[in-house]
Amino acid sequence: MITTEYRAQSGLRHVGNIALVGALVGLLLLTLGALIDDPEQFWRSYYIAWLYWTGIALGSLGILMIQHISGGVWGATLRRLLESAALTLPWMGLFFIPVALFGLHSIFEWSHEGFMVGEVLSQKKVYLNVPFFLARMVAYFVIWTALVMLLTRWSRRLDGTGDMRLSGRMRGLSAPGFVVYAITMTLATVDLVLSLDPEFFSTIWGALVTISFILAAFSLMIIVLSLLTDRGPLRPVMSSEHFLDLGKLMLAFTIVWTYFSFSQFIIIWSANLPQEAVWYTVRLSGGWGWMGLALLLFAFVVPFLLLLSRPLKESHRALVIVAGVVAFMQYINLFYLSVPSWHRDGLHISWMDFVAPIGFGGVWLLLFSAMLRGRPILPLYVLPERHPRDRRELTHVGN
Amino acid sequence: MKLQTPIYGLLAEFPGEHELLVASRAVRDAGYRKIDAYTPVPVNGLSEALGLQKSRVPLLVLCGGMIGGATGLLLQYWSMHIYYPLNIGGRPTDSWPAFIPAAFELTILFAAFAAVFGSFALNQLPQPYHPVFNVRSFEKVSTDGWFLAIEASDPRFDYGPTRRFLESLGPVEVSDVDH
Repeated sequence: MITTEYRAQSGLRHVGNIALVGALVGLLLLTLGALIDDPEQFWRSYYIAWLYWTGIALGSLGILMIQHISGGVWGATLRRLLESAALTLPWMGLFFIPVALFGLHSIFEWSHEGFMVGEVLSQKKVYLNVPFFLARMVAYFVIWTALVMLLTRWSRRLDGTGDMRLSGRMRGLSAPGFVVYAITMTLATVDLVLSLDPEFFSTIWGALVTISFILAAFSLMIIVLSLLTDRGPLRPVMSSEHFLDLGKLMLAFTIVWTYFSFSQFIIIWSANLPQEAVWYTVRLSGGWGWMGLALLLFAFVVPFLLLLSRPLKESHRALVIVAGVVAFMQYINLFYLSVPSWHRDGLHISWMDFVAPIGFGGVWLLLFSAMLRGRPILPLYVLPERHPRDRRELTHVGN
Repeated sequence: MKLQTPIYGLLAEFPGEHELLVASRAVRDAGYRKIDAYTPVPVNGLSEALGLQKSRVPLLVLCGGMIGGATGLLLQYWSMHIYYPLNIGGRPTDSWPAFIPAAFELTILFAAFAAVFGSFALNQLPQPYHPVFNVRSFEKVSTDGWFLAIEASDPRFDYGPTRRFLESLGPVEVSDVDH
């Protein structure tokens, strides 16, 4: 059992400064882009960047609940980070309000009067219309926020009281909570990403985008853990075995992402029906095709081969580089899923697509470190309490 | 087999995982090399404590997987494109996306075979007889017995001192193991 409190400040101060600069410069340049360049492009860049960083928070919530359900040593050092990351969700939700008020027409074709015509689209209008879409968005964020709030509140109370029944309660909420999460994530990713091309449909979509968020969140958490180990409070706690476990999980999530991506592709490719295949025709031709190839190589082949190596996973300095590549490639993945729907005739990247994720990344990291501050960075009580294998990890503390 | 030692070795039973780990480390530090541990469940860190060489199973699995993947791709390429080209939906006969699922399955299959049969071979299994079976209490190894054996063929093995050394490590009992 841990009796020493570790706090995050000392390890994350540099990150906080960099995040502040990134947030200010990124968002300032992005706003400048809206004023002097192209407002439509501004909303699109804003939206993708917002989605990626909100996705990190959502992925963290998913991993947190998986961890509560499954237990396991790997979660002990990760739990506070996941909670803090998930706590950014309501704040990230606020950044959607400008989009809802002013940006919808630049982003969603279906929001235009007179677009949803024809046999198929006119029927989809029952679901894809602005009032219902906004109502759903509110519902998603309320549900997600409620899950995060309950989990973090009980976790905080557990720190204070040591009442292990709270651990059982968190597990009890996480099991049905994950079902709710899966359903809301399926609907939300369809609304937020799939509906950019209102004619396309895919039943694996929710799983595909959710695993992308989870993978990106997991990689980012590895980076944060590594920072906190190198120059911070987790140095006495983290051993190479922890990073080995995390590396294995990152490998598994990478494989799942590839599996889902390929599943969608192979089914549409073999059926070769025009209404679905055109989605891939756009994405496999010209510049978009090169981006797809880059995804295949750097989001799957290279991380997969590297993560097979045990020494690499045990060394967090090497692992953190792979995690950085994976997290970045998942941004590219989101870009590749979304942006071709706006630019079907070929690759299109604006300078605002570079500054927006930096700006939102800065904002997100500021929120994240604010949530992390003031709480012990390790949960004081972890289930199961007694098993020697878990105790071994915890006995490192305080040495 | 020529029997060069009067007994196979000494077998010590320990009350738990932790005690076994500590004892293994002590025995290894005392210079014994022909040692082995027997436990009802896998014990994290036991191989390191015993100083066993790194397992070669991962390498076998990697080779198995690569051979399986290559077999899957080549088999389909040969049968679909060279030996018996068949027009399916007007696609080229060497359409690689269609080859991936079966190649993936063969990768898994061969890797799994390599893992199972590789560890059987490296462990010299099946092995219907082993001297430690002669110790009555060894039956507990499949329920709650934690055992550590020092073989008599170890150069540092010397019956009296080795037995006393094992007894000093806090075992439940130390038994002689007949061949």
